[in-house]
Amino acid sequence: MKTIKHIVQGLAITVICIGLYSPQALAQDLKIKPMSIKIAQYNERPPVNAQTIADGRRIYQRACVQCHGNNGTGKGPVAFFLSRDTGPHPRDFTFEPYKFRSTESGELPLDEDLFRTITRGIVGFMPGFVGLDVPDRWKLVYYIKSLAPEDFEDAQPEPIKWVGTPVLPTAMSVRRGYDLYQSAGCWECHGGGGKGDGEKAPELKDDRNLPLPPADLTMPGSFKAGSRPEDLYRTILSGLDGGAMPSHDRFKDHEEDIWDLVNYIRSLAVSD
Amino acid sequence: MNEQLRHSIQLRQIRLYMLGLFIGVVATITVDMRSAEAVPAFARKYDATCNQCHTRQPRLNVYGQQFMENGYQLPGTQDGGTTEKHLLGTPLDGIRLGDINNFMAVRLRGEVLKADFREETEATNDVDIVFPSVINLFFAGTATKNISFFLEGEYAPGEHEGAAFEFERAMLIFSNLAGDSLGYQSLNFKIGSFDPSSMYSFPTHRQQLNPISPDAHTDDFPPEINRIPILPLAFSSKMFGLTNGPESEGGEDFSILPFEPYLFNSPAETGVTIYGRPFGQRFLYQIGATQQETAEDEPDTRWDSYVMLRYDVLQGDYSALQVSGFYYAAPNAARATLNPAGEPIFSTNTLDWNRWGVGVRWQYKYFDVYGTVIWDEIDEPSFDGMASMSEWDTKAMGVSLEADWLVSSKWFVGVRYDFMDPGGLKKLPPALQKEDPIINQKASFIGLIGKYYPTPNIGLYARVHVNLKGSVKLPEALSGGGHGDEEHHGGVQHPARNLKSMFTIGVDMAF
Repeated sequence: MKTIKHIVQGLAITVICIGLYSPQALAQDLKIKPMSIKIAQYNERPPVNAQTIADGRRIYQRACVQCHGNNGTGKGPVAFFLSRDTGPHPRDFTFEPYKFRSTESGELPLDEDLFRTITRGIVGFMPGFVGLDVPDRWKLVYYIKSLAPEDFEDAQPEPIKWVGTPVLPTAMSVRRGYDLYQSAGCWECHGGGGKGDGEKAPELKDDRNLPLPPADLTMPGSFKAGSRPEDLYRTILSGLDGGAMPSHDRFKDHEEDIWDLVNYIRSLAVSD
Repeated sequence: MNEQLRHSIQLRQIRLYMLGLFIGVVATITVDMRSAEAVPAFARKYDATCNQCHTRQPRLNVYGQQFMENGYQLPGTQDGGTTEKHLLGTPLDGIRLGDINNFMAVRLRGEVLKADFREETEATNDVDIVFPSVINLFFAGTATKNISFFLEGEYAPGEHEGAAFEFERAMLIFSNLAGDSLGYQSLNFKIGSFDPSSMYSFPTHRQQLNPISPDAHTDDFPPEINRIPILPLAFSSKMFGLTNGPESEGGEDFSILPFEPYLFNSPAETGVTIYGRPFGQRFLYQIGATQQETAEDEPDTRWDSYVMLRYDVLQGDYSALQVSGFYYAAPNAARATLNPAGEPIFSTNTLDWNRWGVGVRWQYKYFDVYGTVIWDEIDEPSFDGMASMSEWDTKAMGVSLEADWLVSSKWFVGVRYDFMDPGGLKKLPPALQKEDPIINQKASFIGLIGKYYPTPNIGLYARVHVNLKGSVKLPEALSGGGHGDEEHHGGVQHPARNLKSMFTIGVDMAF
């Protein structure tokens, strides 16, 4: 009897330990971060000139070079330790497409998109640099843009059509979202229950031919592009270029459909 | 209940706990291997993976090194850990605190050991379950912009009998004190108990092949060494026949074990240090002092001083190369000691101890190669009477080289080579030692480790260490004492040679 008691006690210790780092604990732990672009942050935006780009380079050398490498080629010394066999690897700013945009697929991102990614980071891959002063983050944006082909610095990309007021997550809206989830084929990658286990999931790869599993929609805290309703809206409409998530611009004239889909995806979360 | 029976029952209970734990770990890993993620404190705080800062836990990569240098703030920032923190009180006089799990982490290690000795002592060839071998509790983070703290409590039943929970490392760090006036991160200050070598290319702490503690009694002289520790020999004191002086006699720190980390390469010393990068991103300096006690008859406070310089030669395409060098001076640090008739005889002088070393680290893609050579020099000891006929080496040298390879996201292999050409007591006076074997025998080990990381914060490992040196017996005059039986008459195995090999499996997890 005592033998069983001791084994059970050992198991109990294990269960407590495992509970501390379980996916559920993780889901509760990863909080949804606030939207980063605020009026004050626009007001602190410095002008684009040689000096601010040079300042951006100096900040880059301290804060970014370890992963993104010298000259922004994504070959930092830490790159391989971050993700050895799977995507995403740190981005090559000199030629790769940008994933996190509020512009149409194939377009360059807005400055605000780069600012948002620097500020919020990418959950599980890139820490958010909210600790950098706002002007310094803008200067980083300018420097990063300077690493890309020449036309980026002068480009004026158009944002996707934006709807100001999300549809309330009523039962009807969620039901419509479910129908769209089925008809648009989201389940093929994300799976019927949204757990990222769709039939196509094992084959998905990024532009570097590295396996890139689809998001587990039941864990919004792990969404790389953010998990607020407007983040989901943006991701559905613009896709994640360079990754496996296509843009669904068939919805672009049916904003309400996108919000329904957003409401359905948010209903899949195991926790909020 | 007699002592032996109680011990036997305790051992059985531990084994059953271990079995339960093992079943639990294996079952959980098997059932939920796909979705588990790493969430220790800093990773939690910044929503980053463990591998942002570690090649694989516990070793820091280049980013982790710079995160540590910057007082646990993201490199390039002075974020004060404000990420996701809550303000208590009003904005003007409130204090910022994060959730407790953004400050707290736990590390748990346990292992099963199988040693193979040439000659059994108190340590035997039996399988030894040491679980847990070490439990560390961390509280670390930034209190506010550029002010950081780090507390590490340790409970190490695998290291000491009757172990208690105690704070091993505890420090305060003040970062970026000069602002940008002398260059970014040019002046930082650390005070408390910490590993002085944490910024060196081969730090004492955070080994992939975790140190395996010795089985030794250091409260007597000569120390009774049943099993030497397994650790990078370059870090060890490398000196035979030294003690911390008459005042420490009978205490655990009386004998200085030739195989334990020492001076600059100690896991924790109380002191202060300033460090920074005043000339851009390449050059790092560190100057520090640690507080110790002299080995004089009436001990006094002594201040050891050290300087470390590191140059990050390369930080480029998938690679980083850094070289470092240090010098450490410890005045009046030790006493040469002999024990010809069961009573310690101390040298008439206390010995200054100087240590210097060079280290290199090269990281390329998924390879991490690092090594160090460390030299030690002590004053020539002087004795009265017959003891003055003893022979001493005042110089010692040690080498440790390690190469790690991240074979895949989950598999890791490493190999380490250690060599020690020790100093200290070479021969007893001729009246006590007629035969030839010198006492300060060279030691050399090679260690191999294979690790499996089901998630980045859990490492299951198997490792083996093999003694590359052959059998040598101690002089007869030293073969009684600790080993103390007549059956050893004719000389017992030298402690550096007695352990032929050691095989270990274990788990190292942080959460």
